[in-house]
Amino acid sequence: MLSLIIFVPLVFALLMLFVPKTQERLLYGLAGIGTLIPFVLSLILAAQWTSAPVSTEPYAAGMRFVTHVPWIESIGVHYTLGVDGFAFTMILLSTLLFPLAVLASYKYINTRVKDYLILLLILATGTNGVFATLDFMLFYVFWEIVLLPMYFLIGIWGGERREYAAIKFFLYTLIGSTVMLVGAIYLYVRTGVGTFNLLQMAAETSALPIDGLTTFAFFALLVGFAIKVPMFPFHTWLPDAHVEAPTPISMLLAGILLKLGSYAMVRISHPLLPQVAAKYANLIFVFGVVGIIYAALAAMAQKDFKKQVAYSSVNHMGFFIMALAAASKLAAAGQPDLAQVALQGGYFVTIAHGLISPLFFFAVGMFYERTHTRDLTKLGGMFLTVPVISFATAFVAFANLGLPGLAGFIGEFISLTGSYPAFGLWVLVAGVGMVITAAWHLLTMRNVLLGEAKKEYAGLPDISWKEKLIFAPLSVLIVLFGVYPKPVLDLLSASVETLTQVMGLGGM
Amino acid sequence: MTGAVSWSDLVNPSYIAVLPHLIVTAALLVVMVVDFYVKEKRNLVWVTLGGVVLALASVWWSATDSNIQAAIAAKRPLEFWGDMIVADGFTFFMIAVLLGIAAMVILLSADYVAKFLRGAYMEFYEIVLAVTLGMMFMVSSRDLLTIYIGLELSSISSYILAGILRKDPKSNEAGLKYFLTGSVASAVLLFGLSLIFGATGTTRLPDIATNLLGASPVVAAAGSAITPLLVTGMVFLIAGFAFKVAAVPMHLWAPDVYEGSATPVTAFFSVGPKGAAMAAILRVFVGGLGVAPYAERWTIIWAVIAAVSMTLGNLVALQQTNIKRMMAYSSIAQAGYILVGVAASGLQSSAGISSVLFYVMAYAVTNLGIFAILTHLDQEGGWVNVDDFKGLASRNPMYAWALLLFFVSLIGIPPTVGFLGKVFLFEAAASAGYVWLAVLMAVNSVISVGYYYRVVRVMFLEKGDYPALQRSGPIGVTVVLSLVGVVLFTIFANPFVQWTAQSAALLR
Repeated sequence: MLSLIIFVPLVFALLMLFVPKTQERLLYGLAGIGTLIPFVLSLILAAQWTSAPVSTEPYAAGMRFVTHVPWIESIGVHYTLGVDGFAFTMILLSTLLFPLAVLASYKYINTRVKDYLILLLILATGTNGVFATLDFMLFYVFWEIVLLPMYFLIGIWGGERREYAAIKFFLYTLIGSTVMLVGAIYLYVRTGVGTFNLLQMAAETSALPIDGLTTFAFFALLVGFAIKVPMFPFHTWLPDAHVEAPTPISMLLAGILLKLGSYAMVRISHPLLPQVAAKYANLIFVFGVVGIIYAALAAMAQKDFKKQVAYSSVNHMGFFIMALAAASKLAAAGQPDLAQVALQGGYFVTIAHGLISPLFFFAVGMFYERTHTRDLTKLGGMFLTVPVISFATAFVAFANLGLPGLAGFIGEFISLTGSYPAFGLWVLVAGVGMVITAAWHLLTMRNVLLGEAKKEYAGLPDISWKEKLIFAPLSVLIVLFGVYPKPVLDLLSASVETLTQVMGLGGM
Repeated sequence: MTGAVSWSDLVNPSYIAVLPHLIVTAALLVVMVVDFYVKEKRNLVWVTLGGVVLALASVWWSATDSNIQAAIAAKRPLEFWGDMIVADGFTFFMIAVLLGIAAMVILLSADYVAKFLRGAYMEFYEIVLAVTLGMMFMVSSRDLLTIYIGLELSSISSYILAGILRKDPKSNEAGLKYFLTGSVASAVLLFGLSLIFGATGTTRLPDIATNLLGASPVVAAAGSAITPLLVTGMVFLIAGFAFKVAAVPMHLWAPDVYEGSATPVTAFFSVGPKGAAMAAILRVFVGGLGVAPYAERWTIIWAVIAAVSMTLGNLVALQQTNIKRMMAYSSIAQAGYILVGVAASGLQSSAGISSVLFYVMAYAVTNLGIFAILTHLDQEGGWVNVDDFKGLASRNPMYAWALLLFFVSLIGIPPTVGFLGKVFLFEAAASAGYVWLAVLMAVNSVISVGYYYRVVRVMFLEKGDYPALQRSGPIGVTVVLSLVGVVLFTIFANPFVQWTAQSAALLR
């Protein structure tokens, strides 16, 4: 089942190779089906979730829907798939966003449609694969499969500075990932564990002493993931990539690609070397909090609507980093209950962000498509010109700034309260970040939505059916998880508990 | 293979062990003679190809012979022809790789030779066969003399091959330069061999190993293998072999020879002699000189050479505008990567050797694909500059995407065979304690993106006004074979990895 979720898009991509370029409707139809099938499959898995057996094998303890086939036996690489709460929420998110992205591309991407859709489907295979795999090598393969399609999607269909943005994205991620590979292989050799299975590796590596090379390995992994997240000093590729990417790709970038990094942290770097993670928790916390403040201020200073939203991604992911640092510190200090709260909050932030930010980027895209500008000084009075779009934008902006009752609030609130026991009043710095974020959202809304209607924008068409179709599912989920987050938190709780136990092993 | 009657019961096993060599020799002689009598040479090309493919098939036959298999299983491989030819997994693996290389070179050169080499039509193929034969002897012996004779057969034939475009001054320069520097290197190598022979009294590598452990009077007198005589011999050997694999600081011939030679010849040089020399290095250093105090000395020298080669190769490649020169520096860098495995094999012989073997195979299949495409562009219009690749994505999409995949493989990004090769090298380096080398290699892979990226950028992101390419069947087939190899060797890597591991186990 998981294999199907991963490879159905790839099969459709291969199928589309044989469809002539000019048949654009057919190509979109195929791409739509190729991304909808995984979504339906993951919904079926969700329905089976509670009844599915939980594996107790050492290579997939605590995982569901496990597949385990040898791949390269001599170095212990297996094709191991299996999901827990962390992974499955991400698979649901990813399989939901891809059909929406295809829909958003329809009539928006008009050049080289065939290449575009094929790359998009390969991207889907890569992201779903990352979330489903339990073997480091397989993880790495999927992790890198994401890279090339993304490069082309930005580099060919992007804005004016697309080449620069695309290669910057590519190089940043590649540097991170190659060093990460060395780090992981070092751990493999050092422990002599003989397998790249993440769970079996973690059992060995979490007992290693903290010395120069394990610290190197930890940071090799962490930086590889932190670039993707992006964590504060490694975030500079993100605003460029987002601004230049076409709208559907921005949605995917914010909604899923950043989550690859956060997911990899909870799946790989922290379980593998919890002792090092705990030792450097304060440092990671500082990066997280500085990211929150810095990104909030940077967003406030932008003139470009899309860049603002891009910086707000850095800001939100900062909450995840902060909560993760808190969780590893608390778990190591022997307070697993508190650690669980922090971790749950942090991970919820990433899920909420995965719902909100694609929608926000889409909202920006709707304005851009109509006005052909993202310049905040040129937009204005949109409530009077395109009322429905403006209402939708206001809704998503409130969700993004963390209005209680919407999904964004829950995650940030829990991660703040959860981090307090670990870092005391320092978490208030992050709270300040929230205030700044709220401030610039209000300013931007005043700029764009309120004021007098501008003449040059008179007569713009309001929201279309296609756009409503994209808005509806995401906004429903944002409201639903805002008032009733329990299903997500339940899904996460078992995995959170396991991870805090593992991180507790690193206690000094 | 386990029939009732073993072939080696009926035929003298000496002939079975050298069956591939015999078939290549026969093909060489047949082609040479028939060449005098036929006007239409093109069919003779297919005879050459048929001979090589037949030899390739016979490798399987020799390798699975029950007596030979039994000896390999008992870890005492059989030796034939006065102990000059050894029938172990290493021999068969390398012969298969070399024959595969020869077959692909013959295939990709078919149209080029018909167009530019009418004056030396079959000579080209005869020399290719001669080089191949030399390389085959080089990898299938445990005796310094045979290794050296094989090396010379392949080198001297290579000098002719480099200068085969007789009317082209650049090709003449390449031939002369290769000949002058190459013969000095051969002399240096021979001198090194004679010093080793002088100190140990034998040319048989296993005996050298035992003598180095104390049986030889020189070693016995000094009390250890670290004597001036032996160390000088080792240094001379390293210098000679470093030339053959084009490693820094013995690399200066490579760019000129690669640029000046006909493109199919460059294709051959970049993978064939390099791979065979790597195999010979392993034979000589691990099989003969891989003895405790001694191995630690040469491994560090190779490690330094590896580090300098990959760094310098990649950095200089960034400056090149001629693709053949760029690929020359790229191949210097790749030699550096492979030498990482050689360095590791001094301390962790099986991991090191199998990583070298796998990488040689991975590199060959990838690079030949690139050169097939280069040959096509060269024969159409002499398009060998980076700018000539403008708009290749629309002129010939298959080539553009294929080239992208090959570059990705050379960089070492999954899902390609180059990635697996890198993983094995990383693993070997890390297990031998060369973590710094692995990190440097990771950094270098990122540097190498710089020059491959320039080609990819002009192919996909720029418009060109060159005409579309004409069809070339043989080149198309070569590219497809390479593509299939690059992907399938990754997905179904297991048998190859097992084969390399089995080959590695027997070398000492």
